[in-house]
Amino acid sequence: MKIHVTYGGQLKAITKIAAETIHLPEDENTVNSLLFQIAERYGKSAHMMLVGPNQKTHRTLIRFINNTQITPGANPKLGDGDSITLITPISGGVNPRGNWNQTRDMER
Amino acid sequence: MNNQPKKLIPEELDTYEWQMWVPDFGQMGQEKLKNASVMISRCGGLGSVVAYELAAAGIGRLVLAHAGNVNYSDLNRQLLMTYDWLGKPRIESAKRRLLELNPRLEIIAVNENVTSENVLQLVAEADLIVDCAPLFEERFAMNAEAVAQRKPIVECAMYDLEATITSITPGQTPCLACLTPEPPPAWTRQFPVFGAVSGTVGCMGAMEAIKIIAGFGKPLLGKMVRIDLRDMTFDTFNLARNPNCSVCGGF
Repeated sequence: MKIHVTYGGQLKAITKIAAETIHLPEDENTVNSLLFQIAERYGKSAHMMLVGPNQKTHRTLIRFINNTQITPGANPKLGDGDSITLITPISGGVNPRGNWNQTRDMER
Repeated sequence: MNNQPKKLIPEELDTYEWQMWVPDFGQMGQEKLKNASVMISRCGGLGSVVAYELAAAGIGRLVLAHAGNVNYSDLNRQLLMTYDWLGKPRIESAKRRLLELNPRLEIIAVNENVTSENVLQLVAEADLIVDCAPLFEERFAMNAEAVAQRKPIVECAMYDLEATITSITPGQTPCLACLTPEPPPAWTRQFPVFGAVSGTVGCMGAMEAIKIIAGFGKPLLGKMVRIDLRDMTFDTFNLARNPNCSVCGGF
């Protein structure tokens, strides 16, 4: 089956493409199967963002099927022609150093 | 909001005349802004623009939290920081710039970032939060406290030429922890950024805050907009509350 995949956040920086179509075997039609295939396709950095050390997919990844969010950790089945959007969470734009939970920011 | 709402003075009626022509907003919406208090977590690339737009729109009170001194590398996007303030506290630069624009604005300027120590008081000072912090730990602390105090949050975020924005009504819409329950494994604190990108989502965040406070339009409640200015795509996603959310699942 064909799945249209859109990448966002740091994941897009790793894949270096905004979107692509991925073929999934009929008997491996879950979101997690897709994530493992993407992790394998794009190497170590992608693997680190998608798959944890326990070989389970990260709950932090924001995932949408046909523009509707999947609850973190859920692993629904995909259908032929589905669009899935994968976004690694993004934040803001300064670079503090040290422990976040300190009153005074370090410089930069 | 205050119990005894302040009325607009003649100078304010002149200043905000054009935006009071906006359908569904009007003078009543303007008075709601005047009587509202917004807390902005960090006045960097995102928060500077949120604060500036809210000051321009006539918000009554801003609570700003941002530590550190102005650096050269702030000046491509942190529009409240100025060249002549290099090496001096960012929060002072922010306050000075905002009061130049709107001297009627009341500002509580805190030379600290959000921490577990100060988050309760910062949230208590405000009617609404706009979260523009760079670190997920700060955002999660803010999210948890705002949910506990039932204060609405506008979540603005950006990376490279991308940005996301959503608005949260605690107990009714998904919270930040419903979206992503813990900090991502590889968040890079230093990343490519144009001020025009953070400024774009900053303006959107300010508009969300204005709509929520004034009670008009359709805020992004339960929805997230993602923009990619590299190819000018704008997508809207439906968000889902997590019944097992550690922050808002019990509400």
